[in-house]
Amino acid sequence: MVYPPTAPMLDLLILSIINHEDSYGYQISQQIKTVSNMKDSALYPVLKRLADNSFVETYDQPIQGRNRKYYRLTGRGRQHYHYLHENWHSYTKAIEKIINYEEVPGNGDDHD
Amino acid sequence: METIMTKTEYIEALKKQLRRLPKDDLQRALDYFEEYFADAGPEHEAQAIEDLGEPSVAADQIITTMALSNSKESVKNVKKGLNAVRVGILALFAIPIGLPLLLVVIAVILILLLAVFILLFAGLLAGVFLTATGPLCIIVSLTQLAADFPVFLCLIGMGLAFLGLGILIIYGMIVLTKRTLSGCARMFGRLIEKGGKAHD
Repeated sequence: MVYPPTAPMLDLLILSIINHEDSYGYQISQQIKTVSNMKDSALYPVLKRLADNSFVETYDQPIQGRNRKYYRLTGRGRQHYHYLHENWHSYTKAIEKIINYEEVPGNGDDHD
Repeated sequence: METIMTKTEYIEALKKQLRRLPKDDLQRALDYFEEYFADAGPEHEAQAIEDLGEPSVAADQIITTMALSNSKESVKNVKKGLNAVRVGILALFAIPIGLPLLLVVIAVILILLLAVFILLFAGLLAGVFLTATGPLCIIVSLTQLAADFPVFLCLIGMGLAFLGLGILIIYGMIVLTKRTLSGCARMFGRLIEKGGKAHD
């Protein structure tokens, strides 16, 4: 990948996945894989950190005679998701402006 | 290069690397990887191992993340503090170290920490002995009650003073130990962040 996701971006990706629908480790890994070449084992510490910060919480769901640990967003997690999402939005907008050679604001009346 | 691993070997390797973690943290981590393999399905075992990456790298990441999140939490009790310091020390060894200098720095830090903890322990012992001397003095003073009243007063006063001072010292040492532990955890966190950045 040319653009590896940074830590906050990875947080946003994971929170977005879980915000859409409660999910579990393997499934989240499969989605992250489409935008990052990070090893799947690296997802566990990130999920643990999100849980330690009470952004996500877990619950067990029985499946084929075993338990699967699902992650869901907490209220705090949803807030953090919106915060990251907004920042991502303004960041990409600014990036787009630059790479598309759009007019830089305030460029017309130079004071110097 | 290495030969192809099986799931059992992978989990065993991970367990070996993480064996010094607090028990429930170790179990939670192993459960996650067991579940990952179960969700991938036995027919995709080789792919799962390939996707997960080296168990030693996985273990290092788990340890450094734990140390970092410990360093941001305040220490609630001495046991948790000791756990945080233990994970912190493990994490220091998990940082990719290229420079022997960094090793020397770590060794010096660990020796200094040891000295601080020995001092704290000595202080605690002094407090305990002082606290124990207090009641002894009071008992001795009682034998002087009839014989020599001023001596009785003097001894009982000393006894109470020792008792009070001793308890104060013990309390102080416990508070200092807690602060030192959370300070250590924070310091490890900063070291790890720096180490990680230097590595990037």
